[in-house]
Amino acid sequence: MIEIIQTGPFNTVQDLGRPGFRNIGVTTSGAMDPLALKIGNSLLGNEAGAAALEIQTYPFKLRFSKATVFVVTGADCGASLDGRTVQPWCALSVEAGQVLELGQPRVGTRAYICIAGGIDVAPVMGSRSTSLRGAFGGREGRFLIAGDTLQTGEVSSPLNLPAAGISVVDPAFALADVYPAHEDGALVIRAIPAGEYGLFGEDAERFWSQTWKISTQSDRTGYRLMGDAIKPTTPVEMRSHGVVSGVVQVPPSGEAIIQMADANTAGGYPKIAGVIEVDLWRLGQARIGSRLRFVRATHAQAAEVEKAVAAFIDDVRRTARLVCGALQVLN
Amino acid sequence: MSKLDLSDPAIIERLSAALEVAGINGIEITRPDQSLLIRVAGSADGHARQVRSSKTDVGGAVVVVTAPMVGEFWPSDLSRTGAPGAFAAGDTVGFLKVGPILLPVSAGPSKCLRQHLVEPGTIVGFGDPIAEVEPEA
Repeated sequence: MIEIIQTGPFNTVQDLGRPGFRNIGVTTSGAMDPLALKIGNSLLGNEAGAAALEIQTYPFKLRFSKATVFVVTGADCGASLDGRTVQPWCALSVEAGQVLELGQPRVGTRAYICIAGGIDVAPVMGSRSTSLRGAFGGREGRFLIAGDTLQTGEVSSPLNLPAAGISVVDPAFALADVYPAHEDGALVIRAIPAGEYGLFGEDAERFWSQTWKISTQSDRTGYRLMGDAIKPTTPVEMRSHGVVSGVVQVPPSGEAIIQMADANTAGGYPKIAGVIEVDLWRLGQARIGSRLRFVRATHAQAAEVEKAVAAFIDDVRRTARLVCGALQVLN
Repeated sequence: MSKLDLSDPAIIERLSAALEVAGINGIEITRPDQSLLIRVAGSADGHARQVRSSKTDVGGAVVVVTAPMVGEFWPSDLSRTGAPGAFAAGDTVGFLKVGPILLPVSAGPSKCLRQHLVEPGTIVGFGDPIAEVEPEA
């Protein structure tokens, strides 16, 4: 069990979300940085989609009520355990009573506290993710508050961590070959032209060529971008239709909106592009006020990156177990 | 009875010969003041020996940290951009990289790094000395 000692708003329990219910108006939710969640769980021997705490406002502090194993992935927020610095992405054993503290992120925005066995809240529609807009899932459908206690589950095949823990090479570093580098300080996000792309005429080119800024009107539902307005050649009125996370809509103001993890299930704005799924985690770690550029990708390229990322996660899972097993034999 | 000097070539020779006769691949002896690693590997023209021996300094305070398993040694985690000085649990002397996994190597309680004994990126095997540590000031 863990006890929340200090937290800001909007910190929630998240797993990989609840796909399959958008047709009845239920958004998917899930971690904004699913890569960090999967790797954290892989380091602990958890199921890849075990629930964790998604922290996006700081400082955050919790107490472990029993001995367990944890890892903080995603944002590097200068975590400390009983005041002692904890390396990011490093799985460590803790004793009952120890206090984990997260400060303001130095890199990224969202940290994931993964614990052996996962956070054991009641699943709703097959997921433990918190849907803040629907007020269900996670901890009573709300964000965490000080004093909350959360149970953790059991790991079917736990890893025996060495005393110094085990860490993973930062995915941003390890996967540098499959992710484009920043350009002039702007995050490069790959996208595929979407259904109404052709309606934007020459403005469509400015969607790719300009640098967008993530506005303060951004949250888990969507990121509203600031930039030179892009508009259809003629005004468009569309019936509402299904949208998913990654869809880039263009409202009448001409400033694009990227649907994120708590994406609306339907919308009537024209869709100019869709961010490839494996790039969404990078958006999940992008700061408000930071800049980004879209580059055009193909389905084949997206599938190739997806394969590389899946292989990396699988490698982390297998090698973590191999290393812990070897250490037990050797030492 | 006085303790064996593990840096004495005669002692190392005798131990190596004994290992070969017994068909044992290697031995590692670690004492607070000295450590010795001998590996005997079969080769086409007989046996090849790999010997590493170290002694503490005059004060008897220096300890050699050895690799807990095979891996690529890195003195710091080059993949981090945010916390170059951050350590895992206890002060680390470096990391062993095994595929995507980084295994922190601890200096031990109340110890700090004196010097690394291998170059960054070196593949080290189990028991290979990788650093010298000394009591924290």
